[in-house]
Amino acid sequence: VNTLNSNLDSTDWKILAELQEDGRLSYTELGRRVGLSSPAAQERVRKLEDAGIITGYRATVDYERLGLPIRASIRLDGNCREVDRMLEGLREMPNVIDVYKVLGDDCFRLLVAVASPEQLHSLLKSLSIYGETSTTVIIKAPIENRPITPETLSLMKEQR
Amino acid sequence: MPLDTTDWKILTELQHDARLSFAELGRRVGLSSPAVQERVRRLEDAGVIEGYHVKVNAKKVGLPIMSWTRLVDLQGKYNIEQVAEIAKTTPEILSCYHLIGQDEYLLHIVATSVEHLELILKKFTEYCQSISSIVIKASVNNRPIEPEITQFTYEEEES
Repeated sequence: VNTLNSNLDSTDWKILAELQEDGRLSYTELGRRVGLSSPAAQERVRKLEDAGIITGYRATVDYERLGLPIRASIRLDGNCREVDRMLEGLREMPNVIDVYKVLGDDCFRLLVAVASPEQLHSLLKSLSIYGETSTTVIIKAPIENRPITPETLSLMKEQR
Repeated sequence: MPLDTTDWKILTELQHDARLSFAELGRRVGLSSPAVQERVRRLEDAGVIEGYHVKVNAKKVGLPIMSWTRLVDLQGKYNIEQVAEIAKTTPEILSCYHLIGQDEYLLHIVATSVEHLELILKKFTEYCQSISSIVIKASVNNRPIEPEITQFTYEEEES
């Protein structure tokens, strides 16, 4: 059993599970589901926010319906000493949805959403000032943003 | 569904804070609480809003290792369905993307340790080679979609 999460009890995990499923649940409904009063549930959520465990609440949108039918994964292999300048540039590019700084030869792993092949092309040209790009288009996402639960930490018993 | 500027304002607000009350959301976009509630319901029904989710800091709940892993077929043993099935039953795999081209799958994985990551990747060794990049930091994460995004043009630098 992993001990790093020992500060979270089973009620905290239940709250996280419910809010990962529906981030707009009222405190009354959340409390009912996890067995707490509404003020007690609110207090727990506040503690999780203060501890930085909950970092925000997001509406997730359908990229295609918003006019962004093409999504791609890009490896950006640049001069890793210019990370700050690169990050500044990447933050100015609205189609760049995710930027992960990674260890190794590729400096960054990007996920982008674009309206057309032409827009992807112009984005890639713009990225090329930072380094080599390697791009693959996403056909589909069989899994995306799966919730984190105690199971995520359970070290796969069947494997050992 | 055609979106007007009020729809876009609602989407922007809810992408930044999904827990806004309808009263506060209405105030920000210039609608009454019932009117904004009706707008949100329409955006949900049209599938524009897919859901609302809390963002959890994986590091703080005991998952300090994050990796982007490519699964590459080397020996023609790759079975797309099998690999997707394994990914679906592996809770540490938060996202799995099926890609066009040389890389077949891209996995977003969280783990308690490097050893744990190794155990996860062992599930796939029978089918393909895995290439992992350990994440140092997520610098931009799930950037909100803004209305001008489909029209945005990038300046081309002379090479």
